[in-house]
Amino acid sequence: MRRFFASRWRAVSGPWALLCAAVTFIYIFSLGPILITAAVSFNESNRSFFPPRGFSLRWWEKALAPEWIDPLLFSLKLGSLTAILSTLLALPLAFALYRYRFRGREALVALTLGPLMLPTLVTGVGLLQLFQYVGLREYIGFAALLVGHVVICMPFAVRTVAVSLHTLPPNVELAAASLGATRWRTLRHVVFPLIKSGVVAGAVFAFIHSFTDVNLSIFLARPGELPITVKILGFLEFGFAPTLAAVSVITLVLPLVLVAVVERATGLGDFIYGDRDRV
Amino acid sequence: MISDHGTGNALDRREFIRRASAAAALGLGAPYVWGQRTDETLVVNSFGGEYQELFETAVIQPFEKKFGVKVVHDPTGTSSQDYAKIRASRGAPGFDVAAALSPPEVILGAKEGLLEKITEKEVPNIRFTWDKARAALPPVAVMHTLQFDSLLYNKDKIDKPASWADYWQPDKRYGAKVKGHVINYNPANLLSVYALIHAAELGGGGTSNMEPAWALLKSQKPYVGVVVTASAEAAPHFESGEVWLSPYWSARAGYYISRGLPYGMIVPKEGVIANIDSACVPIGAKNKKLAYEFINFMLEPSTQRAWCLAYFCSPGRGDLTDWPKAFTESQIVTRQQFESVKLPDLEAIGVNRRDWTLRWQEIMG
Amino acid sequence: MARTSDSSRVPAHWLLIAVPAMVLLAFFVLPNALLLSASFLKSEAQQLTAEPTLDNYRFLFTRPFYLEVFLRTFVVGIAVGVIDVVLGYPVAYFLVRTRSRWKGLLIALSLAPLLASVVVRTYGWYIILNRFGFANDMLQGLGLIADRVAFMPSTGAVIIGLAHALLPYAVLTIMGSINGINPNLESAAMSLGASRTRTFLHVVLPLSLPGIAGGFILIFSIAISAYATPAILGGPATQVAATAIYGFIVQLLDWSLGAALAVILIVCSLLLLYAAARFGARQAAL
Repeated sequence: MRRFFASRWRAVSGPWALLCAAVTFIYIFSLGPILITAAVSFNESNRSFFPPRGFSLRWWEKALAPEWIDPLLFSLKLGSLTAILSTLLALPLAFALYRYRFRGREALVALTLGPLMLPTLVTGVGLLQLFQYVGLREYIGFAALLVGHVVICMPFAVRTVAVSLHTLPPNVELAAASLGATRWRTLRHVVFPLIKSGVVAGAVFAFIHSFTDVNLSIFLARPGELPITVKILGFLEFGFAPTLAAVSVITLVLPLVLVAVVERATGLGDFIYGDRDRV
Repeated sequence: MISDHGTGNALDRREFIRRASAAAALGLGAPYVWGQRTDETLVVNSFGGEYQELFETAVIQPFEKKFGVKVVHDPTGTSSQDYAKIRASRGAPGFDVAAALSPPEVILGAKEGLLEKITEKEVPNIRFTWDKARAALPPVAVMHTLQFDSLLYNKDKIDKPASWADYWQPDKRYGAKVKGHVINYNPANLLSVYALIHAAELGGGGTSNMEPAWALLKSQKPYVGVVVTASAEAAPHFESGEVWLSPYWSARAGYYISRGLPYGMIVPKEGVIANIDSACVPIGAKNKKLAYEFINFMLEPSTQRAWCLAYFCSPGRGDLTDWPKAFTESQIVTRQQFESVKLPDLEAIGVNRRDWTLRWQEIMG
Repeated sequence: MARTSDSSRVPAHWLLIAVPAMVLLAFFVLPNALLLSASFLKSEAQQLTAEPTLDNYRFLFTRPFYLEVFLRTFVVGIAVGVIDVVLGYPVAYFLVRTRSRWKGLLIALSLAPLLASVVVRTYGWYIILNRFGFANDMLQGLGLIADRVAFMPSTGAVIIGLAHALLPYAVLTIMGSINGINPNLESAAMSLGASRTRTFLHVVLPLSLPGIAGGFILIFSIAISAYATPAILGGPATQVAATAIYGFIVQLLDWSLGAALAVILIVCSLLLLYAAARFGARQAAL
């Protein structure tokens, strides 16, 4: 059925071709600035020329040293844990907000949007103050970062889960219940499979938001254990250099490769691309 | 992806997931030891970027070797950001030495009681530092190096400037061709504050009367092509050759010139204002004893020599001689040179900086 | 969640929201309340005093400069949201419906701007937009402009930069909702004689509205609080709320004014979204 459908799409090539052209332009817009910076990392001299002059890999050699790789691994760890925790917290929250009408619901909606709208710098300074006030100073570092990141990343997961709950066929739970399924079985076997693409997208967003945050992390990181973004910023304050271009390309490619590997091995792709023939 | 759906490899996949999640759990759940710090570990916050390496070889590594201790170097943050961290953590920002604070933060830190008082008892070498500069700072800071606000110009594009007026009224000296090639900085950067003070003085004013500065800023605005806050943000504009005239910290200017940028750096005839780089110890520091040792070590002649030559800055003490000739020419090493540099009116800057920034924003916005 | 139905005394939603709400209260509301309370305190020469005052708010509301900052912030937020939804929709639609074997790679690439650190993105835009950059060379070469134009720093550059950075949020959120639409619905509509355009307008578009609204809200919210991109592409003269807050808290160390700005920002944004929800976009309000 799908194959057939696809071939019909191609047969009527007019609008599809138009779409392809538009998409190509948007991709150029997306990738252009990134490719420019990537090119700078191959400069022969220590100045950031574009187009690059000469060709050299020495900045890459520098970028692959532990000085940069350690913060990168730190950020990957932090991002993964943040993604898992914030998604776990977001699931029941999104479900309650979507399913129930109760007093204080609007306030709760505002509360889940808050961390998105407040510059993360403010939350960072606030958390540092809080940890100090309540005597948790020793936890500044990974623990404080994790707490901060979970808070600022949770809204992403809440949003995407909520969106996928919206696209849920309305009576699916009733139908399952009328067939004798318990509440838990309905959730586990009917609802969850239908919203899992939203859940995974939420986790991916949370990971990315954590992986790229800098303004909160500046205040909660512990000297010697820096996330990659803070490390980059520390460098940037003293000027842009080809090393930074190389590092930035690595921070871009590595998570993408990670996603690709996991996708290949686990079929995670279905989650994101949502194979919805069964609906 | 679609063809992967065969049941054949479903088992493999499940197995993979199991193994992968086990591995992930191990990696993620590995206990985070909170880096048990002993008395022999010192955390120093200082310069980042390209200066990180220079600071480590010139100062940190020799210190570690001499005292047999481990130094954790925290290269993050501008000086005001470091102070924001000290303030938010009420004096316990996680580093023992704040080695790169500028005077406004030092003064604030003294007022708010977040920095330790430092005397000759803790840091004996403090007595060698430039007397007048030392007197200008509250007793919580130890100056270790000096810089000043030089005027940087693009040698390929324009003749050597001579006066701050050449920067503030570029059209009078260079004509219409400089349009778009002048850079201006937000007063959140001390560099901008100094440049504005020079402007005020050009028109007969000063820190108590900044009106001439605002008039000059308005007349300069049409010629300004780039406006940034941090000094580092100006770097790409120097590299592209877009900026021809800029006030700039002498150390960075020296560094960029040494890297081959076609720029020259001058001391305008009206003079320059010094910027005093200081080291401080937050009141909540864990290892104060070693922190004082470190600050004292920064002022040792051998450290001063190594660091100043690497960083293109001037020493914090005036009793060192036999610098390379080229270095003495562009830096402050003798008493006579020191006397020729103005010290900033820190009290006035502290009180007025916010209003100046707002005024600047209203004109440049 | 498994036990919700067993405990009949406590409403189910309470059990669902208890933990996440506690986390948000303890680690979002509490620390921010602590910091933002400084907005009601007087500060002298960057130093906080204990004297309560409303001067900080009065100051910000009476300076046209800061009213402009807020106006610019919301204009940027809305513009970026609209641009990204418009650009993201075709990409999302394409990615869901394509049968290309490069689909996986294309999806990964569409995420690239999000993962590229702000350094990469803004440096790239700097190369393109600066007075002596690509865009100028091209426009001059084509004879469209006589004099070189400074495209940045400007509000336009901020909008372009943020639209670029946040586009993936639109693509992924919209993909999520298009994924939920059974392709057979489209073929059914067309087999009943509806044109492709009609099918799209009457079947696909309405069904993907939650994704569009969700994407817009997400992007709007991030855009109004973004710091790094506006800081670099807008420069110090073209301020938005986040850069102004950063300026006060981190650069000028004047926390009371910075806190007041942050309070105004979050109150205005929530009111704006609440109003939007009232005026029909019920979906958007979650």
